[in-house]
Amino acid sequence: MITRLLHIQFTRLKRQKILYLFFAVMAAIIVSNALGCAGNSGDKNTAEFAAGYYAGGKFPTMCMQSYIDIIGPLFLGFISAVLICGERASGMFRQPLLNGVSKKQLLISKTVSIFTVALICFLFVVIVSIVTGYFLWGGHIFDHAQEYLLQMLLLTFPQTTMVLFLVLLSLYMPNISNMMCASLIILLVNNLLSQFFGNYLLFINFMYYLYAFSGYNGMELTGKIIVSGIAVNIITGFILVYGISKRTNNMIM
Amino acid sequence: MRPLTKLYARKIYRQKLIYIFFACFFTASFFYAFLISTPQMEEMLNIDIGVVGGKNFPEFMMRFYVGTVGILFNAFLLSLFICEEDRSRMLYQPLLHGETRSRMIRSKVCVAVGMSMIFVLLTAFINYLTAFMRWGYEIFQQDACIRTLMKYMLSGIYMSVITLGIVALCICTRSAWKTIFSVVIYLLIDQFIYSSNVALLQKIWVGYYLNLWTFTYEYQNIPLNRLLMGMSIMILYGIAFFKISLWRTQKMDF
Repeated sequence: MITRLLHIQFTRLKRQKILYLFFAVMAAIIVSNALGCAGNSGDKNTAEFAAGYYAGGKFPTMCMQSYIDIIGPLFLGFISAVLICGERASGMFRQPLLNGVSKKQLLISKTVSIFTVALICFLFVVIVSIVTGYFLWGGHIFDHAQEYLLQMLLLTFPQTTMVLFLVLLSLYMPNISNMMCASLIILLVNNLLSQFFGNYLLFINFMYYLYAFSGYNGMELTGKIIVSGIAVNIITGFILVYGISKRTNNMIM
Repeated sequence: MRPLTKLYARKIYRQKLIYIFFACFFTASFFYAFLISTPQMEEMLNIDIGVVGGKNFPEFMMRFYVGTVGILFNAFLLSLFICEEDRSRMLYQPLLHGETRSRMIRSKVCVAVGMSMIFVLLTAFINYLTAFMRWGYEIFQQDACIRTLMKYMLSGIYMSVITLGIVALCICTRSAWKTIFSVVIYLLIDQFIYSSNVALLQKIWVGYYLNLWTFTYEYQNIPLNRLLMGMSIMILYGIAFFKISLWRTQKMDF
């Protein structure tokens, strides 16, 4: 049953033109950023210096950071809102329940499909940035490959937890607009807290690792951060799964 | 003010999310004013307090609302205000009480534009307040103060035009997610156009002028020709969006 549900969810997602539009725009931005980086020598002013710093092997890291910063989580929030809040508001959410599917199975299929979208979007950003970088800087794009591949691997943890968090948030929000507004506020608050109180949030805030693992603002990737990040994300993930199952059981469809 | 406009205004200002958002904005402004002075913070955030602090602080903080965050926030509120009302069959209720479609949409536009202007004013007030708490009367240096206030005013005009665009989108798409997604795409294209070197596209793109005023002429006076050009493009866009909203409302099938 769950395989069938997943198949339905993926077919629905594949039909969403917004996904393709998002990919097209992201690709255009990555190419534009790459051209910007390639055109800067890195010695004029602060912005140009930053662009010059990320030219070559560091370019995929820059793309990951700009995706993880706000665009990625907000887009995932949007997908969760459409798949959960939107369907609930239009009365389509409960349709599969009439065909013998349990609430749990339905939520699992939705979560897996949102997670797949998250993974595809993230991989898309990394692959396009590497390909674009290869055309501009040749083999130099692989100079820091070890660094950005590790970052990429580590970022799957906070992104998975983020998906679970967004699913839980969608279950509480009455409609798409409220969900998006709440996501925006949460992301901005997290950005602020991560910048100013990063050291205090190390053991409680899983979203902090979206920044820490991507080396945002020059954060160093130390052993302590990696271990605490993985642990915090796994623990928060379990708490969120528990929260989702509790909410699913109590929810009136 | 017409009773319908009053009713819509009351509806929008009852949204708790607005108060939460501005409480967060005040906190952000406060943190930036008081916590960025340390050398570690300056290095980490890649800013120079000597440049962004004091009289320039309100202008520096403007970028945190005007642009991406403000536009997204307005888009979410307006999709709640128009699309969700449409979905719950509340949008046409005034028509049953003798209002015309034109009057209804004019009231909505009036409240939406007013809201976006008030939000920009509120951010200006918050930023000046935190800057005053941190730097005192230093922030009221005449030249910088006039320049900053003028930039806030221009940003208010830009945000109003974008609000008109979002209203037009809400009415054309009649779907919250389509509106929000279109706004996200607009923001991505805006970023692309600003960073690209396609001069012709930049000249006719409404968002380009705000980026120009905010980033290229940051802490500087805007040249008059750039200012007039930007204002004219914005007004043209605003009129077009308003006309589209009116035209689509007449064609709307409830």
